[in-house]
Amino acid sequence: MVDSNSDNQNTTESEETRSVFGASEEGNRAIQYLVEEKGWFQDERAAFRAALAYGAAKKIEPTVGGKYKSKWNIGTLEQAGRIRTLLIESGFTKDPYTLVNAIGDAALKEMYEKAKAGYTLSSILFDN
Amino acid sequence: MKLLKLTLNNFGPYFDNQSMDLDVSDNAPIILVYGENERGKTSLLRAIRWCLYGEVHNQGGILMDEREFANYDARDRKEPFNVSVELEFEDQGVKSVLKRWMKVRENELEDTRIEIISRGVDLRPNSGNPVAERDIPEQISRMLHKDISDFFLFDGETLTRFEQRLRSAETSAALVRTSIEKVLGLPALQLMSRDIEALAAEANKEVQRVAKKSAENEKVLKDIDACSTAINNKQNDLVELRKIGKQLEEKNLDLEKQLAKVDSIKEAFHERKAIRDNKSDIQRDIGEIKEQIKGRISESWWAPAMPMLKRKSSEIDSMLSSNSQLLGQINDLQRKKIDLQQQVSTKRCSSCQQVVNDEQIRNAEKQILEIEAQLGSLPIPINNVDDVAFTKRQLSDFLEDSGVEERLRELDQDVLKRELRIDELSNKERALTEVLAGNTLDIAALESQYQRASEFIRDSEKEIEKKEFELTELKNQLRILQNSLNRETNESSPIKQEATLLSTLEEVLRDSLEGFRHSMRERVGEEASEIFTQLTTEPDYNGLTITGKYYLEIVDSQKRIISRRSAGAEQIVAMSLIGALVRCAVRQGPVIMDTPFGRLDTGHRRRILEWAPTIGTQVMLFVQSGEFDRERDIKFLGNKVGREFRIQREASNRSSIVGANYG
Repeated sequence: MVDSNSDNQNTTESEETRSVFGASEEGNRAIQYLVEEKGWFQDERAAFRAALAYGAAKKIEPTVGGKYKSKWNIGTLEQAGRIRTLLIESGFTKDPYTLVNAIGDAALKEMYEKAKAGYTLSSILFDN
Repeated sequence: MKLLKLTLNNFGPYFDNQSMDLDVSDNAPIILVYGENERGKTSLLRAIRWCLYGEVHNQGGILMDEREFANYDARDRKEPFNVSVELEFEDQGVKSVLKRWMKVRENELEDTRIEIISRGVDLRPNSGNPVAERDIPEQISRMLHKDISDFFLFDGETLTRFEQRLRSAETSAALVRTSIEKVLGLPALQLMSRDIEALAAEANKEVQRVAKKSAENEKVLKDIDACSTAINNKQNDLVELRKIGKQLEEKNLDLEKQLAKVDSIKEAFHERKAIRDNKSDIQRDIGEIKEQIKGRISESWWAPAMPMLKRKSSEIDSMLSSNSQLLGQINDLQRKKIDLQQQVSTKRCSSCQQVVNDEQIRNAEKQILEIEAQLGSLPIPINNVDDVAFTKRQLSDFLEDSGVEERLRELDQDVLKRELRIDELSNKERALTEVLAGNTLDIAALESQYQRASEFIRDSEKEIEKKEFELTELKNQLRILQNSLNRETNESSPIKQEATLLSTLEEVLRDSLEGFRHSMRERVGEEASEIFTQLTTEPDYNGLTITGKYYLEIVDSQKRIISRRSAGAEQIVAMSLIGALVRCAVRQGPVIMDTPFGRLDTGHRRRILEWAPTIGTQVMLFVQSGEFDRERDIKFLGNKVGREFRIQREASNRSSIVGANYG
């Protein structure tokens, strides 16, 4: 895992291929809530990956112009290439890695809102 | 009375039907039921009590709301359900089945969220007709009266209350004493004695009225008058003394009420602790379920996209299949076109090589054009089949575990149910905390005041006992005078004969009753003392001595009464009293002890275990691991264990009873 303190970089969507990933400040607050308050995920990475799947399933509108705090590189986030396949199959065909942060971030915000409103995890993830 | 089988249906933590065979032989009368705290041992005792008497009191002595017995899992079905307890038993050689039931349903408006729709009780002897519902309480009372059931079916936690109640001067003490005499079979004799006394008094009055006519009886009549006056005076003294006693009791009543408050505060503490333990059990359950949720979602984090991925995979499948059909079709058409072209150019049939005529050639040329048109209208086949197949393989990686969604939904429901239960428990906990917060009692001061007042009352009771003795003496004197009056007068009349007979009968019965009461009390005292000596580990304790009110005092080797007793000693004394009463009881019944060793050290525990098989012909012990370690303790019961059961934890509010087999 990338150390968030030593690798704290603000990035934009213009990069051709991303190799480090993370959520915005708001997205990280959502992660913290889902992991610590709700106890739904083993760690932040598990929450971020599930958010990506949620975003892909919903074909979520990616966050625009977000400032992301990198926490994982592609190896630590997921090694089998599933994230890429998932995003491509969901229609994010053009260099999907550039959209990982924006999709994850937007999904996290939505999941946070629903969790706050009292939805269960299964209802958030599966009742689209 | 002997219990043969207990069947519970949606009662307490017991979901659906659960039963226990309880039939044991006299050689192995012990039934052991293992269960940890909050698993449902006390619920079993409550189920038996509810079935027998239709009511149950909690450990604080408060009547329980029976709607609380409705099982939580059955409530989740969201439809009416039955809560029932069925008890098969044998009494005086007759087997019967007693079943008490209620049909309930969820109702948010009720404070317990449960509403009773209908209820009933059936008692069916194996031979003969079912007993009418209104006669069932009386039938049960004949076998095991509710008033005396405390001595047979008891909760170890409340054991010391018998002795405390016996010491108290309040009505409850009188009730316990009456209950004890019921166990011993005294009421029948008392009733008969009272009737005879009333009849004798009437007859004697008539004799005196007749005797007054004769002057020779003057002296005896004068003596009778004097004796009657003395009796009246003594009775007035007694009324006065009882009045003073009553005043003292009334003064003490307030103290008792406050002390009862202490009990209810202790009860509230106990209940709150149980609620907190229950909540923490449920929290632990929730924690475990959430760990499962985390594990599932971590293993299959792509689960939310799985429906979409499945759809894609099946689209690829159908695309590849169509493509394969298309390629086959194109191949067939092209092969056919080549054959026709060969026929046109060689003017011979391509399969049989025979010469074809011009018309056949024109036909072939026409078919070639049609095939070309067909080929032109077909879609272009996929040229990157390998890429598509690769994508298909990638997608199949996602679809291995297809039950994630269903499992996550189930787990979420499990969490929700438990969170709801925690909310309910938290409400109860808050109410108890409010009760406890309002407690400003100085318990030590109250107990000391109560002690002093009780001593006063005990003194006045002693005085009453003395006066009662004097009154009995006077009544005997009066009887002698009346008998002499009967002898002195010559006149013989039926009323005189009746008076003589009744007086003699009254005397015989009173002596018998007092003699019987005294001898039974002595026997209870001796039995209790013997049991106590067997149970206590304190070498300086010599035994017990019984008072007229059945209160048992511990006597040391110097024959001194031990006034201060620990909770453990209190429990041993109470158990000795119960053991003695069961031995002396006119009718035998099952003895059920719930958590009997709670306050006891290992030495006392061992002694009680060794004694338990001798209590009766059926002894059920509900134990938890903290008080009974099977490996360590089973040997103390000898070979006297007839059956063993274990209360198994299924979930925080759900238990099941299984026969424990230890080979």
